[in-house]
Amino acid sequence: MNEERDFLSDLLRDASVEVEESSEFNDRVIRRWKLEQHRKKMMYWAPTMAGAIVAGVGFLAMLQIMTAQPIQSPAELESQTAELELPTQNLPSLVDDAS
Amino acid sequence: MVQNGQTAAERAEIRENQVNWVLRVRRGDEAAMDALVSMHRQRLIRVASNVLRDRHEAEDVAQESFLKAFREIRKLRDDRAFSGYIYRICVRLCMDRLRSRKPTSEMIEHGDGTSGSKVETKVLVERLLQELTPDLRMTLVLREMEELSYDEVAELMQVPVGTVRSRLHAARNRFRELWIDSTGEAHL
Repeated sequence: MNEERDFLSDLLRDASVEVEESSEFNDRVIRRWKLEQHRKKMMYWAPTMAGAIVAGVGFLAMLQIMTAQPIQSPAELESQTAELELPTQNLPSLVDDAS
Repeated sequence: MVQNGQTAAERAEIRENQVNWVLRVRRGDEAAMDALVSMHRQRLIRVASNVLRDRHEAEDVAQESFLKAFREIRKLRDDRAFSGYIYRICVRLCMDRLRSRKPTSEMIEHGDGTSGSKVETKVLVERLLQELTPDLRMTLVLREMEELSYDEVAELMQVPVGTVRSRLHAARNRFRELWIDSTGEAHL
């Protein structure tokens, strides 16, 4: 029984994996850590940034409304365009009549 | 987790350094993280490689273990216990990977396992290990390949020592059956 156990132990020990030293391993861990921290920071500030963007858009929209001309009714608009119509019949012709 | 071939003074110095690095990692010091990774990476990759039998997956699990340990380092009450803490995380992640793997329906070829070359035997052992359940495989690897004591295996797997003994017994029996099935040799 003990012999069998020893044989099994030797078999498994021989099949143990030899690990090669990888110089990039540490860099990869640190890089992943930094990325994770960066993502965490972004997640933390995301609601604040979204709020700031919404507030900014709202503020611009308000400015736009305050500085814009008041909306005119169709009747007012029609009377204004009638006034603006040019008296075309009294204007001198630019085309030479003799030709 | 005693490292072989070190004097008591060396071990004490390493432990002291480790406590210092853990303290610095708590403050987000990347140089201390680098030092802790250098200290434990080889053993972590070896454990994961022996369990998962896949070098790339093992490296990935080892990296994941370090990240999880650094992320949750506030939960670590005793800074001297970082060694055990990181190995426990690694073992748990390996178990998760093993459990999420689909069982292979690969048939074991009958042939001369022991009479072949060392490489052939190694390949056969790898395939037989894959036939074991995750719990049995992990127990066998930690005890036989990592040469840990029953107490250390129990601590890493977070089970009582009695469970480790019974799992090891079951793992050896199952491995023996598989070996006989595959090689036809009854002397294991």
